[in-house]
Amino acid sequence: MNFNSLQYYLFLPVTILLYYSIPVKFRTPLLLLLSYFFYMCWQPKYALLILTSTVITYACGLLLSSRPENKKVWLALSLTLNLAILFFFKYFNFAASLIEDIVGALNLTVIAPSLDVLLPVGISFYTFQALGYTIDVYRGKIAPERNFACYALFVSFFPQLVAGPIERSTNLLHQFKEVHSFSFDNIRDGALPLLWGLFKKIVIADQLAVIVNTVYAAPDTFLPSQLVIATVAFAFQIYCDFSAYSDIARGSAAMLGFRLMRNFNAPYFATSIRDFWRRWHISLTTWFRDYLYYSLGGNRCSKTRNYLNILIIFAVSGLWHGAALSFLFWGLLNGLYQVFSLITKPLRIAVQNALGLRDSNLALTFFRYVLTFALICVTWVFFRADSLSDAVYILGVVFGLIPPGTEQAFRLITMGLDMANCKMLFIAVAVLLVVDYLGIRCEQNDTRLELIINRTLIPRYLIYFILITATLIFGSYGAGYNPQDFIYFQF
Amino acid sequence: MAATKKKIIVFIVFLLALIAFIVSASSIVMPKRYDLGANWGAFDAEKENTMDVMFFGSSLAYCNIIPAVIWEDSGISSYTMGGPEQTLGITYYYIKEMFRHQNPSAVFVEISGIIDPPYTSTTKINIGYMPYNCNRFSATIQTAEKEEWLGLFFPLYNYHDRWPDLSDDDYELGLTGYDIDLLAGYNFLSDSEEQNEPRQRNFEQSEEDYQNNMQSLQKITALCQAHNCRVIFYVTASYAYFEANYLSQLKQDIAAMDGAEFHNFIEDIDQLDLDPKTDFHDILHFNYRGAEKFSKFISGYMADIGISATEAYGDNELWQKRLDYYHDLIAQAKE
Repeated sequence: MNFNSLQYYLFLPVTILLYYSIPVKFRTPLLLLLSYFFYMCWQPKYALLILTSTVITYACGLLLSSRPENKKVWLALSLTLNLAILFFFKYFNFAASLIEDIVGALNLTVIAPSLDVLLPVGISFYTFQALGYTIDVYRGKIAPERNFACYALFVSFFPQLVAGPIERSTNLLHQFKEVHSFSFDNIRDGALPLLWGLFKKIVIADQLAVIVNTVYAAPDTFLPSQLVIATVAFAFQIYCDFSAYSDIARGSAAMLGFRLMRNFNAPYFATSIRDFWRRWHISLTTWFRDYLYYSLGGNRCSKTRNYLNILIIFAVSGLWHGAALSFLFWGLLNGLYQVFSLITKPLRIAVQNALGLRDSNLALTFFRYVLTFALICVTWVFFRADSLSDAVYILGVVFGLIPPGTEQAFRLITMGLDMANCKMLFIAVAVLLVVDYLGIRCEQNDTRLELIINRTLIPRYLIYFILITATLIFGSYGAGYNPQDFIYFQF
Repeated sequence: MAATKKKIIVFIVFLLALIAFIVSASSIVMPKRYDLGANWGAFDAEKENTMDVMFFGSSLAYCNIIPAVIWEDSGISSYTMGGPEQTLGITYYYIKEMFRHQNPSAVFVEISGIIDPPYTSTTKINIGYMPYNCNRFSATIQTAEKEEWLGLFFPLYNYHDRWPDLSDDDYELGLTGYDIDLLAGYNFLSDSEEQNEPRQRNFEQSEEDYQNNMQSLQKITALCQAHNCRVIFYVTASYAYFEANYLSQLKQDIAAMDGAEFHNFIEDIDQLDLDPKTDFHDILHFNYRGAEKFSKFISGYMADIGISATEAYGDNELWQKRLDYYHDLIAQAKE
């Protein structure tokens, strides 16, 4: 049941109606039941995995509290079991083939077993959420949850179950114990992110996917300029796709009275790679920061160790996204950017001072936007390419190191979309950037664009109208369309 | 209180605007239909209660019957309101819809579709162009496959991606509606395909499908009776005939229906003076030459069974215009 499917827009109103119309004491069990139903619409048997993860972390949480003398044992038990499940379903085949390759490079032969298992949807998300809870209890940031239904719902809450945001126990768990009375304000608060998310997914991401899929399926048949266009298209596709999921999740939860964390904050208006990661997939970045980076010593150590910590975090982040070398390279490249940025920081400040440029200088800010976006686009090549060799080929062709595989004349139509749809996409992406920019400006004034719009009446409905009608006319849906899964489902 | 009232008003205006947008956008993006049947837009533009006779069925109805020729021959005003590969289940809803506008004395239903399964690939077209009302809703639920429901209830689902290809016609006809069809539902065909000799139609049909189709004929009969209208089920003249036992069973079953009449025009084919070299579009369909001969024959048949023109229904000026237009098309085809 995708967020862009009709079924979801039957499921959500029924859920909201039931939730608010039954007695408060039955609401948590109801949401739990519906959350499992939501998940089981994909892979019924894999609901057992969520249940297993839930039982393990729930029990370890209680043991951490009742038998504190063995705290490290319970923490290790929770981490080991959960990561073992994750490893088995997500990384086993990757590790096996890696071992085969390494051993093969030593002129030895080993045939590693290969598992024929489907990757459970959202396993990385709910595993990290559950592990975050265990660590929070271990660190004494939160008392262990004794109500199993409440805890099970924390792990499986349907809006954010499949692709985040990866919620913190400190933010979400207590909300399941609060009474959420029906309020039109809740519906209003949820409507805007939900419609905006649908617009981004159906109008922008799924149309850009046509260009990206066409070019990346056979990069050797396209010109360098087409590879650049496809990569920029992917940058916006993945942003719209993933942030759309997070927005719809936030909107759906808000309609039920729950507040989920923001997962994106105008990432393509980042002025540095570090800034980008403060704005992109915020729930994962902060998870790694809080639970791994700090545990490794963070920046309270030698510079070399700090650089190593950064590289470790980004390498793990890459592997979190996918069991493939291209994801590892993607992560490492982001880490290297940051390390390079830290190393060159004194030099950059000196140059800036010598040129008399202030941080608030518009031209400098714009240059930073463009440079950061360009650097991020290079990393997206690794993220999107079908293999590491494809990624190397694409970058080689784009930077003129490898001759392109074709000399045909540039034609947009060969990239899968006609001119009218390309123009529409151009306008839609421009709207997206304007909205993100306005969001930044609002934050500079200590407010949020969403709140400003929600305080209005006619402009708010006008925005609803524009989003709905634009999605109905320009969206990718209907007979003959194969609705695209959200990209982050595969993680 | 005033703030709440304002909120409610804005919400209602928003809903109305959204509905208005969806309805008009649906009309605009629907591909415009000028021929090949199912053109309800043009039929709705006809004056009410102006048809003596209505023809229904598949392309075997709208390619083989020329209302202008029938009018020229007999003064009878008629209209062919068929649809491509139309199943008899949908034909029932077509006739029901027709009775909302017209009050003919006879309805002719071409029933070669008796051999068809309950669903065909053209259901989307046959129902998709019907006017929005309860009848269309019933037709969708009863005769379309579930996968097609969403697109039939909500045409934007099927056609929104036409937005880059919309023409002025799409906007004009979508917003203001169709004009009448000067061919009165007939689909003009000029190409010829020589036919050698009549062939038996080979098909396989389950007993269940046959019975379902017979039920549709019973419903059509009851519907026409309720409107004091004669119903004549017929098989169009063509070079493809039914197997004798099948036809015999069909005749027997229709004869058992109270109020239904049946005529197999294949049996009259020698009287049509057809030229197998020039009068056929393919084995089942006539081109305009064959259709003209067949229409004249049907006109005579109608006189034989007591169907005549109703004085009040005749708009001679319009019918003459229709006849002229038909002759213009012939002249163009000959050029």
